[in-house]
Amino acid sequence: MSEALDLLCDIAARESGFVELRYHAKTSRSVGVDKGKVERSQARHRKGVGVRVFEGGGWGFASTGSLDPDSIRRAVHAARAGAVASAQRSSHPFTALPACALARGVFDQPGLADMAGRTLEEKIGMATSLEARVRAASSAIRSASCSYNEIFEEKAIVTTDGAAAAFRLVRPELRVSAVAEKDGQLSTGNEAVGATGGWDCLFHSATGEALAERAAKVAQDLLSARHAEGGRTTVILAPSIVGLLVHEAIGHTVEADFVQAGSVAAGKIGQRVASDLVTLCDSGVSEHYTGAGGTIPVDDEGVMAGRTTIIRDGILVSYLHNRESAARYGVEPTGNARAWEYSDQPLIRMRNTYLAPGTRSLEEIIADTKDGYLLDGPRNGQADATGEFMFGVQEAWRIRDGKKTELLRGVTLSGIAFDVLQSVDAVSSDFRWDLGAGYCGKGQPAKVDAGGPYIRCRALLGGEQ
Amino acid sequence: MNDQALLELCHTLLDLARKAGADHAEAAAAWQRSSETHIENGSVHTVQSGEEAMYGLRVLVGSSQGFVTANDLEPALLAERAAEAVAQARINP
Repeated sequence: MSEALDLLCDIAARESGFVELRYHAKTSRSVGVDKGKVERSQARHRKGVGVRVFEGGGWGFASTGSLDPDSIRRAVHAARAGAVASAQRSSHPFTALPACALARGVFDQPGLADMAGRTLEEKIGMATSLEARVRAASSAIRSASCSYNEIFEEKAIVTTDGAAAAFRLVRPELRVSAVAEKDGQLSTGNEAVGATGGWDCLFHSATGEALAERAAKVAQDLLSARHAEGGRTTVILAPSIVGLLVHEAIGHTVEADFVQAGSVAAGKIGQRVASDLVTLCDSGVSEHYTGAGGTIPVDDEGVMAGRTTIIRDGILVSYLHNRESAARYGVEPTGNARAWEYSDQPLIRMRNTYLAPGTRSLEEIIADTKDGYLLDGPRNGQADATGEFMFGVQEAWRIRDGKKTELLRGVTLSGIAFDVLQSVDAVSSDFRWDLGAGYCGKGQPAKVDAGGPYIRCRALLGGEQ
Repeated sequence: MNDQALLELCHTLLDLARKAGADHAEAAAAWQRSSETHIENGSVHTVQSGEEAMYGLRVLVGSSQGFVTANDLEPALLAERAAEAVAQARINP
């Protein structure tokens, strides 16, 4: 690892102007078991160096899959030529990036030895056994699947203005699905976990066996569930739904490149955008407990990836920045520049996005809800730059007179995210990361996580067909 | 890399797979150079280029399959990748 850092430092030392060199080696392994059969077991190894040059107000990027110093120097040359060409037709208001605090050192994340010590046989065995466990859970289960993926990453980031950082991390993921059938009607149950770290992080909240049993139970229970009535109503959102809401419907609107493109958050710094119970953050660190799936110690521009408070007590206080957008807005970079692979340019991406916990218990919140729903488990969904969103929900329980009653199926949740956050009137003291198996897509994938406490708010529920 | 070098890479991978215990093996390799320019609202948004060699190796041990793709061409790593593909195939039930 230090070899890559030394190599990049050596090359950077001979370059003039602003040059950013990023070594990135990535190993992905994937196992998929379907209906009792191993359908997929494969590995992918990809490494190389991505180079960015900022010159005369223009950016150029080039990459090479070779670690030969001459190949890397050719990439620097190509990136510089791109930057010069770009500068002639670009609208950057400055010709040099402002100085900022940059990372130096090695920042390996936990779990590497644990994961490297586990054999492929163990991982295939686990996926096979969990898939079988789902099928054995009930005679109503018609099919099951289980997939296990892991990504090992090594990075070294060096810039001519002072960054010289390296780290290694590992991200395991597990997904279990069940399909149940009764009288020709199908229902599904899906459970997924993902972490940055070892298996202790992956199974922090539940064992693999518990996830398999839960997927089977959800699929089976939903067979007899009715549809909800729908309409504007009071909802208590579980951490999984809160995570999806803060990532998709809020987080993207505060990415500075989206803000510049005219997202709903543009021009709203300093304004109230949520109830005063809402504090919302994005962090490269796994806050509250270790293992969040989007954890990075240093971003791909060499900036330490600490916590950024986006909304404090209901007031919008920050966007998410890379070095360039931070310079445009006259603030410090927030460590959100991320690239999926060495041949990708860093973009402004979220890391671990969450709503901060409050002081109440879930039981208290349910007890003082006369009429509403408790929603858990995101199914799918979409959100746009206006903050308008629609998510599918796996499980919805009716709440009547302060009591959780029957399970309902086929529920969707929609609204304008900032309006929903304005309506938050209760926040629990629980906290759970619950999107660690997810990937964010923005031209290139990114491993992210999201979560939070239980919150009570008002939103539009889709129900009866 | 030229066509001949890519062919040699494939043959090397096949040899390594057999030595690692594969009954059958299939290798594919490609080298690419790319360049891309993206203009947005009259301003240059992206100028980028790249080059990379990539290969894939599929092996069969009995009727079980293993599959590895990679872009590392160091001889020691080629042997490691072939062994990994064969190990996958041996473990797959």
